[in-house]
Amino acid sequence: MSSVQSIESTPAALAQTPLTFQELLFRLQSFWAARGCVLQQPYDVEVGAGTMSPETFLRVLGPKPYRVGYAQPSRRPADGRYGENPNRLFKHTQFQLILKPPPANVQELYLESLAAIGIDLSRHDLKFEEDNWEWPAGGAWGVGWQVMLDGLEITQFTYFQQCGGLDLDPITAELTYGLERIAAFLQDVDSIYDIVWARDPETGTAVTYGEVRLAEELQFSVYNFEFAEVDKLWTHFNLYEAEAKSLLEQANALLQQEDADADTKRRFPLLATYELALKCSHLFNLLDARGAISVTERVGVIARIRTLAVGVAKAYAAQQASLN
Amino acid sequence: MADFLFEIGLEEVPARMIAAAEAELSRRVEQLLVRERLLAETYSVQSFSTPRRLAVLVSGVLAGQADIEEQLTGPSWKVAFNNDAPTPAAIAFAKKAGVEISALEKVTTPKGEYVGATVRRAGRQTAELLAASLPAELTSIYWPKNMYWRLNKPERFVRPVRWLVALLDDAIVPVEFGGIAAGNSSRGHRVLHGDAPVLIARPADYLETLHAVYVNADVAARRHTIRKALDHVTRTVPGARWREDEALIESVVHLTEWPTVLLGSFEPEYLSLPEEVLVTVMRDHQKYFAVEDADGMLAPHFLTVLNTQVDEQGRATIRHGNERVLRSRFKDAQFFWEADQKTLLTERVEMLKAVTFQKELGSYFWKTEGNLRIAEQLAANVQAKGKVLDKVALLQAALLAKTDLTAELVKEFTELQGIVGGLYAKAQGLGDAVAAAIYAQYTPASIEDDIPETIEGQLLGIADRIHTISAMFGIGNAPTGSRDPFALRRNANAIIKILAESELPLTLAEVVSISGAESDAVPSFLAERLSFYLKDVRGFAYDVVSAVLAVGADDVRDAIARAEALTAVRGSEDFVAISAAFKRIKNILRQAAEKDEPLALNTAFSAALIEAEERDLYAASSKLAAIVSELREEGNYAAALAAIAMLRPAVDAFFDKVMVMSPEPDVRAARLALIQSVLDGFSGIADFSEIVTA
Repeated sequence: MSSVQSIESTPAALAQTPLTFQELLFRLQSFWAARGCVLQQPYDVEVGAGTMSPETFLRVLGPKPYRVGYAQPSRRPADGRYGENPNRLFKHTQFQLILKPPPANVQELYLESLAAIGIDLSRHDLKFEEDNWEWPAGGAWGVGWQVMLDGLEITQFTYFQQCGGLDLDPITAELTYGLERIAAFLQDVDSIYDIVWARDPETGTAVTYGEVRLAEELQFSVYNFEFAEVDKLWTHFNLYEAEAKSLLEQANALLQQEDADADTKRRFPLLATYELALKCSHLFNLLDARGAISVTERVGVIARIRTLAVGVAKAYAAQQASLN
Repeated sequence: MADFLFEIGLEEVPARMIAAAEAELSRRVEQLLVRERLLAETYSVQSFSTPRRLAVLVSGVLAGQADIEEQLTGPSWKVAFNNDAPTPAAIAFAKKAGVEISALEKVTTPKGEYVGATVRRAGRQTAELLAASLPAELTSIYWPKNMYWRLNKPERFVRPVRWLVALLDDAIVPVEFGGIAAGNSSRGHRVLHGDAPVLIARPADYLETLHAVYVNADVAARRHTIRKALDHVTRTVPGARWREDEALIESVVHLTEWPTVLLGSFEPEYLSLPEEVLVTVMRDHQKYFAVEDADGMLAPHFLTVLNTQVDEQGRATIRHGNERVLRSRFKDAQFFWEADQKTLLTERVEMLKAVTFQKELGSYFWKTEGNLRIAEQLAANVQAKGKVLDKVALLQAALLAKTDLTAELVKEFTELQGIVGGLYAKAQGLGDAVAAAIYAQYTPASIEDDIPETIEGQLLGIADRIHTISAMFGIGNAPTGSRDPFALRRNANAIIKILAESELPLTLAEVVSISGAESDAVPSFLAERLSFYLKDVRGFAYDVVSAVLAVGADDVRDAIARAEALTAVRGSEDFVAISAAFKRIKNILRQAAEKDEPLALNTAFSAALIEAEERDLYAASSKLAAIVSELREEGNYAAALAAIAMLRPAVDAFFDKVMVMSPEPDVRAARLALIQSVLDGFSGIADFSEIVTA
């Protein structure tokens, strides 16, 4: 893999210096910040998708409007390829955007954001193709599109209808930009690892995605597929689950108590409970990558995670409602 | 008379839903106008759609309804008038009807005398009526999947509604839906025109106005444009042709407002991947048309339908982008293909334990065991009837059939299951018979597809499907009504089709019994699919199908042969008469059975037959029955039916002269026995009483 990609052979439209990986993120962040979004930092627990961050999963519940954007590293152990596949990663980065409620011109805003990262739509082919999204373990689904640019899926655009098994009102528009593929597209490189992550403004020296992430891809693939100890993963899973369940029981008892005072309800650690559920979800993915989940177990384990995630969502909605 | 235009503008509607929605909107608007008497005698309706709009244009719309006279009936005359003086009931009725007391009339009905009033109701204006009624019509449009988008969730629709155009000639009709008030401005192509509103001056200008802003709203015209462009662009490659693909055409027609076509290429080295993989990636994942060379071989090109129009530089950019995507997809496929080869199919059998077939039943390993057991028994039965087959290959194919579910390539391209297994079996040197059977295990996927070519493939296909059906019925997952979530009907249709179009000497009863199905519903389910096959696929008349299946729904090819023979003769005069006679015989016997009338014992009845006509019938039927039985054995149904038709003179004479239900008990019993023997002797091919003769 070459560390700096030549751009001489690319068509003129791409020939202006394309954005580096981090510039791409900056542009998206400032574009949406300028439109009233809170910029959050990535969530610091392993998640399989930006949706699972509480900034999405919990914030979409209830009536309170919210706009947030964050770049979320998303880990999918079974997708690891030891750094050998140029298009597939164990950990990729989604720029996740939540618009609750969605403005009437949400599609137009989205197209403006593409212009902001240097995509001149008059030179490209854009299509919104039906693609409905679903996360069964989170009791979440929505309808929407995959946005195709010159045949490449660059964004998943979803109108959330349900989350944590709860009907949403208002509903939320979720935009998920696949940063690696957009960067590879803008920079016209064939391998994710050749993406220019950053460029020194004085020397012009580029640091590539491979230099930043390749070792991680390799080593985590090795861990996820070969070293992760199945027994211990199960032990961790059971422990996190037990703690989450115990917290949920306490939460439900408290939140159903009408005479409990508002402050006691407010300080109940449901956000911590949710983290425990996320840890279970990641452990499940690891066990899955290890091929350690048998047929009969599989459905059951997903149901256990769902119980936690949906349980937290319901309790969280009740907690929020009790504050008003 | 006016033109009415209604356009509903949306965020991109799923392509698969557009055609039906366009038709439904058009139908609903037309029916509304008809129902409300708002159309001139000669009116016309046109409909349009793009991913972002559905529209209907009606010419010949009246400005309003004609006034109508209506007769209202009120309280009884006695209650309303007390000695000609109006009571409060009369006053209230007059007020409600909006007429003077003096205008009330006496109406005589079968139930007595009532107060009546003739009321003239002014017709409503078209615009007012449309504004009031259209929202309900829109709400009623069926969508396979819809969504909420507004606060407090007022309505569900397929996608958010962004604009409405409602024009009666040049006047705006004040329709409101989804929080949007209708106006006279539409939108153009998202990119080529942008967000600026597009004024529609008059309904008749609709298509032309949109055309000027890069929207071709006429679906047929768009389809034509795409086909022409595909031809045109392909011609730049000498000898090349694009692979016809109706479903893909429909899909891209509904994904574009302003279609153009672009030719792209890929590195010829990828042609070493199997064609199935390349075409699936192009068609299912990228919506590209495959291109073949003059010899019908896949060429290293593809065609993509763009939703835009750009200059040469733009085309280069878009081509480059699409080629990049395709290259990375092919590279993925190649990567998976190579990675998959590191684990042989034979090593993957064990891995099937981790793949769920159905959670109440078990894994694909469990399914494989079931398939093996059934395949082995089917093979034994077929061999016992003299068919030659490679049983070792069949069993190896059954063992390995599902192993490709663990392959990366199938996880990535699920539509290639079976096909990938077959290709891998071949690549791993497992023998042509094994590879072919695995490859074709899911064919026919639809009723139009061909059946597997090899006998091993046919048997594997039957074993796999009957196992699924009997297992699913066993846990209560039989299809109900229009619900068939496990596609069991499609599976059963495939079994019928394989039996119908192969030379496998298997009956449905044999197949069911080998499967070990415990549910009694399985045989009738298969019989029902056989009936569907005969009617809907083979096109036999429903009465022919009923007649044939009434006497046997077990041997598929035999049922087809009987139906063919019956179809050939059913219109003949003799046959119509025979059918009518059998219907009569059945009726008489049924009525006799209801009265517990005895039938004379078997052969003893001949002595009691006294009339010449009945003796003739007895003689003719005995003689013919022997002939028919022999012909039937040989499968010569046409000749057998011709022989049956020869019975007609005797039957006609019998019914002309002889009364079956004679007052004499012995005679009656003998005659009943006679007609029963006729029925029994000639019903082996079909139950002729089912034939519609009128």
